[in-house]
Amino acid sequence: MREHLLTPSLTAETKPSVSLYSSNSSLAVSIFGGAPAVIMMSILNSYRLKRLADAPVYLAALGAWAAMVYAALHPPAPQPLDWLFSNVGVRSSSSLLAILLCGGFYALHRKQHRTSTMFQAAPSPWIPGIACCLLAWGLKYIAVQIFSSVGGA
Amino acid sequence: MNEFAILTAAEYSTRASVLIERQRFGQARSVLAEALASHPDDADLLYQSARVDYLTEDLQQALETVRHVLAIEPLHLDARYLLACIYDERKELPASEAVLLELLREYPEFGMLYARYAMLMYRTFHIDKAKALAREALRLAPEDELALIACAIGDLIEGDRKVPAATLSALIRKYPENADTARLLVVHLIGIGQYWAAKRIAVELLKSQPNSRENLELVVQLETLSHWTVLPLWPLNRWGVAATVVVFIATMVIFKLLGIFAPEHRSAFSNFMIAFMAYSWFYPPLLVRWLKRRAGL
Repeated sequence: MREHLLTPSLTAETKPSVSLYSSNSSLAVSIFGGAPAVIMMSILNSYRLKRLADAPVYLAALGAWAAMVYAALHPPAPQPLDWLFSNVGVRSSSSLLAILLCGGFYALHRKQHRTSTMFQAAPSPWIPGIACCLLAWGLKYIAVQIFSSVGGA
Repeated sequence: MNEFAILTAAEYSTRASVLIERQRFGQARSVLAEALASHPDDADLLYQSARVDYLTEDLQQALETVRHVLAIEPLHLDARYLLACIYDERKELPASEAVLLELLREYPEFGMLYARYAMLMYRTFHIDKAKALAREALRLAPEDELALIACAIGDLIEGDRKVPAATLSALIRKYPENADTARLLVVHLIGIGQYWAAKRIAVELLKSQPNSRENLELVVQLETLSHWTVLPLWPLNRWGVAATVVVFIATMVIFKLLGIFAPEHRSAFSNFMIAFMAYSWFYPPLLVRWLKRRAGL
């Protein structure tokens, strides 16, 4: 057991003070930029933590968002989504997905968020937050253009 | 002739150590200057000198002195431990890890070394390893302060509400006067939403260390969390993202129900929620700024 504990874990490339963008900044980004923005913000946190293992989670989240955009552009959507679109509305469904993803990503990095709060202050989220929102809006525009021309809508 | 003229290097070192423990760094420096004039190459005296520099945050001088100690006595345990601490403070984390691992291989029975390594692993987000190291530290040295702190931090990160109380109560029982114990208790109380109790402890902490900017910032943070004007935000502060998700979903449901049963109230509800959102985002940072200015930060 001890040998495992006595294996070096740090390399010369280890950043001295990694801290994560706060959960509040992710919430704000999810409300203004939607699902793609909160995915990008969480990717930034994973990058800061060097957690490559999170990549499948982001791919699945992007897939869910793309499926929702496609379904909204090509009614009728499959049953659960159709119910959501007709009862909640397309925009609110998209916001709901963003906020749920935000909660999911927080759960993914929950321990790291707690550690980060205990050991150092969170970095300023303004520039990355605005950049994520702008990129997300661009991505939404591109996705709508692509999905509109696909499937004979 | 002065009062220390007849002291040996070991006696000087003990005196300096006692003064350092009592945080009388100026007096410790005088004693060490006197001692090093007559024993310039004594490893223990040089180590005490490096300790004073480290504790007064002159890290460069501390590093040079520790290297001097290790040139004289390469296996000096305390100096090597101090070297790891200095590297840690200078954010040379791999170097700090290398020194600690070397020490752990030579002294595998020293719980304190595991605890120090655990703290380094927490800082670099190797949380599972840090917790395992903290447990090992506590197994080897159940009374060691740093081992207890490392375990309590692990429990707080894990987020189990009951476990931290057990490790914290052990810390409070054994080290009630310690500032780190009080800070951990404050973190725990913030975690369970007891902002008013946390503020009382933080105020006491500030009274005991009135020059600490860190403690003053902690009091300001807790003043913000417990201020009467942010009471409506208590559930959001307490349960964070989960509470926001619940509020968001509840808003959507209420909006939908209003649309069915009382459509004339929809716009009023919508305006209320927009106002609440603006208040929750913009008011707390403004309050923090005002309280910080009032506290002179």
